[in-house]
Amino acid sequence: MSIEVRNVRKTFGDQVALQDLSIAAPTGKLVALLGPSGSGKTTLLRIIAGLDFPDSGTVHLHGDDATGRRARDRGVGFVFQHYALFRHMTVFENVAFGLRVRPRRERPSSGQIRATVEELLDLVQLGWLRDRYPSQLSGGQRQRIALARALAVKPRVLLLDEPFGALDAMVRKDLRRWLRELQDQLQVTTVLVTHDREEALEVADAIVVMNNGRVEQEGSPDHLYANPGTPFVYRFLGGVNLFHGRLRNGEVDIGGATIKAPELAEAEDQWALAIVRSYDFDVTRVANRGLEMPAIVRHVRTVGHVVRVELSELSGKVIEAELPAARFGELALGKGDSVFVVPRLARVFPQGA
Amino acid sequence: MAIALPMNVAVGANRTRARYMPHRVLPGFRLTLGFTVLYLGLFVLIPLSTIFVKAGGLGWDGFWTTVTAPRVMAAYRLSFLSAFYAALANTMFGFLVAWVLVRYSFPARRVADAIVDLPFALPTAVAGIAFTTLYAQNGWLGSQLIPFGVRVAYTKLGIVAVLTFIGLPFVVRTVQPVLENLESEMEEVACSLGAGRWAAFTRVLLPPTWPALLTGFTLAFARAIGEYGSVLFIAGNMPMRTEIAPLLVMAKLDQFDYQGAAAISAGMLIVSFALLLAINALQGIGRRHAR
Repeated sequence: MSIEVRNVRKTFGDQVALQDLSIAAPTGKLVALLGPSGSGKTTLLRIIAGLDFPDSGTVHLHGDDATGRRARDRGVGFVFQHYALFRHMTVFENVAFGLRVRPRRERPSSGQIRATVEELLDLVQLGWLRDRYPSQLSGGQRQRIALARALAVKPRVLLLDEPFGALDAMVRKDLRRWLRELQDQLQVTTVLVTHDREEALEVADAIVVMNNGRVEQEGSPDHLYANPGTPFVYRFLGGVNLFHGRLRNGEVDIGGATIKAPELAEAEDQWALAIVRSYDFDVTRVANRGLEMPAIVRHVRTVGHVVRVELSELSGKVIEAELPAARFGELALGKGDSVFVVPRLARVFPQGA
Repeated sequence: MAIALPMNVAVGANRTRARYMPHRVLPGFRLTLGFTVLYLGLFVLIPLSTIFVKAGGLGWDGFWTTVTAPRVMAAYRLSFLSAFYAALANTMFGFLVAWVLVRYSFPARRVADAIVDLPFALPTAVAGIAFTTLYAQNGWLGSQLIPFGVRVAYTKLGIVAVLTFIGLPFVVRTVQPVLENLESEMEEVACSLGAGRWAAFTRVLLPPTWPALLTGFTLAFARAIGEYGSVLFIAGNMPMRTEIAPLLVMAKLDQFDYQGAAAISAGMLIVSFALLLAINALQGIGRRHAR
């Protein structure tokens, strides 16, 4: 384990940012901390970097307790969302900074510094910008320089705080693919903070979903996506519809339709939350099984291979369904059509009496 | 076609105008420049030029003997040196104060922020009397310093102290906005890259701040050169030792030696102006290097 955070607690005034939280990042892997803003993920990252200190709990880096160690002695590279490049230095000097401030005995010769910086600039594919100032670069270029600067000190751990948060969608996509390749190449243990689930799912080896200063669930992207453990994770991973209803005999009555939950057949009568992903709905013209909800088509939007259909149930509740384009073609749905919605797959969370 | 003619005329007019100056988006260049010249003339240049006119009555030789008299030279030396030391002290401590006010939030931050401006509001004579009372040999602070052999009231040190007081807000107020613009993240990045405090200060904090520091220094320096009211009380005003140049001017005026007073003032103005020009030039160099 390169990074182990054990029972860390952090409060700001009477606001609890982290509640006895523990996470671990295996050596050489890219771990994403995913959560809404205010979930404590940035605070956690800053604590790992030594830019903030926990009220209790410990931070271990490569097996050693680093809780009290100063940021400069942690061997950690930190990249901020807004780059924090030194404006008065050229790109070259920015990247060279970490090498130039070393104590004289450990400082590489200026030739070595030059070679290292050139190498890093090549790595981030921005060698041609070496004499520019940060104000002359685009956002994506600045972030790549910030990354090169962090890598210059050969950190054993790389921490990225919403590194692509300030960039536009296209650049963001390119950069995260590039980051993934870079990480594969360098094999440096990386923790990435993000609130963008797509980013986390696409880039990370493991995802830690955070909510209210706690770990909600952790696991590989595939595992997490296939088996969200809590309603929060479901909702955060997106594309879901929530139904409240009464759970009785392994079925949830959600008004107009029932959702089967055979795994909860033994559970007592109680309220439950049923979650259906939008692509787990089917839409039919005729009712045939008695499990479907009557609804009216409100909006239809084609997005590539899928068609997003927004429907409203009789009670007025909005349902978002995603149909394959072929199925949509069969149905020939139009705005205002009366149809039936069938939840094919649902996950039910009992919520108590 | 009826529209074409006025349009052509307009284009022609624009072309004539363009010959004198390129068309600008920002409005009112001529008006504002005119006002600037008028304003500087009425409030700065004309009043100051009367000093030179008055001093001119002495003739070159008269002027030279007046300003090079030992007592005058000693006063000049004292004035410029104390102003320099005071401005230097303000630059260092003002930077610190500004940094604390910007980087930290503490309970009385707003109050501390407001206190910084007080030296501007207080009549300087009041400040001088307060300092004298406090630092006199039997004063509250002065008596504590006597055992260490440090005398403040009626010495050069006292002059520097009051000049520091009256110049305090300049550096704080010029540096504060610059520091606010520099994200604290820059300092944090420097730390995580292995920079010690000193390296972070000299390489990250200071380079973007120093033009503002220099401006603050210049303002505090200029203000201290001309200061009179507060120094009057604390200096003791002993000729050759604790007599500043503005005091000497007042002394000459008391003796109805208007030309002598004007000559000493003119000498101060010339040296001050030369110094300010030099500092401005220095700043121009700084701006070019630190973007």
